[in-house]
Amino acid sequence: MSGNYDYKLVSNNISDLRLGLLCSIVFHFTCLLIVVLGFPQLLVPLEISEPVIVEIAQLSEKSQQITSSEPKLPDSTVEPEQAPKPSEPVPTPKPSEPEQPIPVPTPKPSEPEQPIPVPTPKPPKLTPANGSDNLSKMINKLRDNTKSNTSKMENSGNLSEQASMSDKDFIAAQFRKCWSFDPGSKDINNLVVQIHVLLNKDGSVTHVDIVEDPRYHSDNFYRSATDSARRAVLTCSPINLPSGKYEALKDLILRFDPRDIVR
Amino acid sequence: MKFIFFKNLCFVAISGMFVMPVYAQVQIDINKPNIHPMPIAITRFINTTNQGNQTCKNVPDVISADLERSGLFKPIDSKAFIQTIESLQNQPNFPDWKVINAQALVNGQISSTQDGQIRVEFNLWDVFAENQMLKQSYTTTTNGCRRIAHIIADAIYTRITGETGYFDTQIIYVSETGSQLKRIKRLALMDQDGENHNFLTQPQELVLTPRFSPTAREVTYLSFFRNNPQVYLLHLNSGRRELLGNFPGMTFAPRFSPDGNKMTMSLAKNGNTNIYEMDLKTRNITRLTDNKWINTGPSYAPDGKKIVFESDRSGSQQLYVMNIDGSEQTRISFGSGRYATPVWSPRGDLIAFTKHKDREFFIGVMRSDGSGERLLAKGYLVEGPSWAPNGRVLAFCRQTKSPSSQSKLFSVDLTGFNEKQIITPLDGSDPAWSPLIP
Repeated sequence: MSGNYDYKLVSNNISDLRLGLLCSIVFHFTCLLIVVLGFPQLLVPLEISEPVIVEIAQLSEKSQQITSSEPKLPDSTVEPEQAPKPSEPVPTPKPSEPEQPIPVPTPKPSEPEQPIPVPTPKPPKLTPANGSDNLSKMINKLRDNTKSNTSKMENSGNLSEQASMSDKDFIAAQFRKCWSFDPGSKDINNLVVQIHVLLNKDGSVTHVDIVEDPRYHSDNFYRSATDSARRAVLTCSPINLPSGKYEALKDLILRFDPRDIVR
Repeated sequence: MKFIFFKNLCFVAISGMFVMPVYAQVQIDINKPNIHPMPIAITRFINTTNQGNQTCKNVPDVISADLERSGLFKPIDSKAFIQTIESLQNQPNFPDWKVINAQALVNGQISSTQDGQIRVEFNLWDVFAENQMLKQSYTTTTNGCRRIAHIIADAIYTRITGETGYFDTQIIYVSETGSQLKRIKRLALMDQDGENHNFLTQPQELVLTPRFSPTAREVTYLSFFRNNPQVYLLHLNSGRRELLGNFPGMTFAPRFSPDGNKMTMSLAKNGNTNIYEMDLKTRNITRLTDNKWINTGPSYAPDGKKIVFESDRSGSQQLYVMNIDGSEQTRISFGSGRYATPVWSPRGDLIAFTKHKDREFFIGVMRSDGSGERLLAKGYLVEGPSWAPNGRVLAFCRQTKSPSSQSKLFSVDLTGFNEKQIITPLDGSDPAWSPLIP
């Protein structure tokens, strides 16, 4: 008895589900129709966004000149587009300059590699003296080399050669170990000294000199503070350098600040 | 050809500009220095005198002891030296001294002069910078060797720390002996390292509060002879003593002005104790405080323009500062507990004091406006701080509990480190540190 009763319950449930599914399909289809036909203005902005992107690409290069002449660009669309552009000139400041000679090299359209000279209207007038072809080729080659070099540095070498905060901390910790200071010195808040240090590749100190301060010859406390800092540098030599960071860390200004000793 | 060469040259130069990365100087901040005494090698001095090789033999030892006692230097055992003293006379072999981590090196020689005196010459070297920091010589008699050593220690201390030295100084104090009921108190004078100890007064005379004049050759003190308190001025070179005044009532805590022309003290009259100033030439007396409370323990600022003193006018002993004419009396101590015996630092930046709080005594310092209070020493009874002439070290008295009650002298650096006992033959109290001896 109980088995028949269960079968009826299951069949009733399935018929209910089919009805619900049908209603749901009809409902969603109706909604889609209403959205597409009833609110067509929702699709319009897609057409507007295309020209905005192109305009902004030029804006970033000559921002100062254009900003005054194109006030009608909506701010809300400008801001998000500017974000990706500044990343290009950051790694090397030089590449922005080769853009200037670009109008020069185009008396002959034979070189297909030059996409940018197209807008320049006056190339014939700029044809210079003999041998300019070769020079322009060299410059173009140079530009290509530069681009490839900068891209290489971005990808691997140069960024790793930059001194990071942890690199600086690593160096500072080593010199700190060698630095002893008299906490009873008078006017300790005025005894920050700077030492110029040059390092060898093995981390040994090749050159130490005191960043010039006339107080060294007139203030005994300052002279003692400076001497103790210089002594710390020489005592610490050689120090350990972070691997691959020699070029970035070979020329240091060490700023010895004893004020923490009394805090 | 030339043009092509020029082009190629330009190309190489320009491409070099593009390809080579440019690295700027990197600035690195280094802070939180260590507080370690400086390792220093002080060698035996070469002796070429006619009087024999024992003359002034102890000079390097005295220099070494002075510097070590300051807590800022750590003399290296001579057994560790690699370079011989003889070869050192020509030129230090710096690697030999770097190996034993000597940061400074002292060598010298002792010779005779034509007039029979002794000439002591020394060099101070910066081992790691490999340069000479100091070279000086002094002439003295045989008796003056120990003092020459103190002077050399001062020169080294000054060159390396920037502070004026304090080793060529003396300490005067009250030497105590006998039972508490029948205590004998005499004036005693010694070098700051405890050597050359002398008693200056007789046992029948009870003395208190000795203080040096700015010249270090006169001392004022309070004497009770037959229950009659009087202030005396003692000339140390001649031993002559003169009465400064027979003041009515009780007299306390006389102290010289920085120029040595005046003296300030407190007098008890009619139940009130006030502060007075006396011109030592004219002996005219000016009253600086005028109230019904106890005002005592005056001490001049090093510029002579202000006086710090203690007063109970607020209900408990506290420190006050006033102008030299007694105007603008301002309270500067506001911590819990009672403050007494203020002494203005010769540097001018700090005031040392005795503090009593929770059944304990402390020696402390605060800035002249009352801020930055720091406690340097504590004990069952510590009191009577006195500054070394460079304002860097304090001498004070520490008394232990009875029945084995003992009173001893100690010194402590103003940082609170390096507390050391000053050895005296008997008990001692109320120390006063002299200026540098002229």
